[in-house]
Amino acid sequence: MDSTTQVSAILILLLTLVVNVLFSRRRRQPFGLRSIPAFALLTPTIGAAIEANHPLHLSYGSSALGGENTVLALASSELFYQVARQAAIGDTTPILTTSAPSTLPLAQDTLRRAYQSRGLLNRYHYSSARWYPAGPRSLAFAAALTSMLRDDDVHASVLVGGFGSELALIAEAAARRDQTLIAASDQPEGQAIAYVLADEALIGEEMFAAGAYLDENPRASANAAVSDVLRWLLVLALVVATLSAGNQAFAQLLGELLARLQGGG
Amino acid sequence: MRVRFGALLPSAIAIGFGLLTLIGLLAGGDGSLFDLLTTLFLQIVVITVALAFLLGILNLLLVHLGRLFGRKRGALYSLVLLLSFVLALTLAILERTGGLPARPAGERPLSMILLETVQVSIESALAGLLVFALVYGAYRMLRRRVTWGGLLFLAALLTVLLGEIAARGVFESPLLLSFRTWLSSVPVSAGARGLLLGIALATVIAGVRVLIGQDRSYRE
Repeated sequence: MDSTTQVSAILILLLTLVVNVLFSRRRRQPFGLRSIPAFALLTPTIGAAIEANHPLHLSYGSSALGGENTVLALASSELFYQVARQAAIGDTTPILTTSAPSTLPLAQDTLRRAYQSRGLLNRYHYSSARWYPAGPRSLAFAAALTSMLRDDDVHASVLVGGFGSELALIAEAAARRDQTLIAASDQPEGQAIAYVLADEALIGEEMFAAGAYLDENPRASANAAVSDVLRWLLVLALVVATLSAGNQAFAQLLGELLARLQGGG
Repeated sequence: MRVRFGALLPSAIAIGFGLLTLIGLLAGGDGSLFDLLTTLFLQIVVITVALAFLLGILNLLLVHLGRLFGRKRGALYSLVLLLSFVLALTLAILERTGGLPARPAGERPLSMILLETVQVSIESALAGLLVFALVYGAYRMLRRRVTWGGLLFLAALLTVLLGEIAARGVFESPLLLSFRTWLSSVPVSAGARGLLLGIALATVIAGVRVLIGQDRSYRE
């Protein structure tokens, strides 16, 4: 790793830490949470599943602990925890699926914690967290899920994790059975398909905001505020970089400004 | 404030290992103590993930045995899966122990041939269905509600599909070809990068939350 990357990584981490600490200490966040239709749809969907006495299906896709998308697996877990916690009062346990075996213990623990938080641990069953092998192109996983949606008479699916184009098969099976689908993926192909085929889709960093929208603790909304602040800073940095790349005079002005900040002129 | 040791220990382990690994990765292969520790931790992760694979197989078998003996819907598929598992496992064991006649040199093992003829061909057939699922999706989206986003998607889909046909020489349309190239290299590429940047940003925030002990997975 070269020194520029090291310094940039340290700066980004420090900035994130500072903004996070600043916002976590505030009781009221300066920005309200913007409306995200997928989160708005979740609560009535969970209620309808409980009424219909059919299970909800939650899936990590290929998000794996120990892989590149470890943090995504943790973020999906937070979302699934909130959904399972709300669904725990129903008679049927939500089904958690994954194609990454390393995520299976996380899935089991997520369900266990959700039921424990409601004092209903006796209703939790280990087989509600399931591993389906992915195969070379994740299509075997998609085939297994399409079959599971029918066999377990699923009411709705929440697919948030690593999904590619195979998401189209799952979404089509859900649509055929008139099951609600909320989906999101960290892969552009999966994200595009989620936008087109799902009833509602979470886009980009919205996947990481479940705590802010579904947790009863108001401090959880600090994360969404941190994300918004950092996103605007990133947009600003991109605009400045684009302007300096396309405009010689602006680049010179920026260089002089940086030199003055460093005490050079 | 009462602090539960059972909740504190996982947080302490996650924070400690996370910080050491982060420092080691930032130090970047300089052979220091942090670098050696990072390599060791990553090796432990690889071994743990390999062990999790066994856990996954056990889970798969238990779920399908439960379905079979509980005579639930789809029990027949569970039976097929269990029989396939036993067959594949037996074949692999016989190959390793020399229980099968030796294959001529250069030929692939039987288990690999079985995998390629069954799984790969079925997966290829499923991949062929993807395009129909997408077209159905476009129809469903426009039937549900006609939005500017939906119309834009349909226009982009038609441009890409017609452009692909033109690129294969079925008909000539240089304007369509250049528009398709511009579409995939400018707006599509920019959109994908925007999505990935947003995800990367959120990943950094979530990672920092784990490092400062705010993540729920380690708190309860």
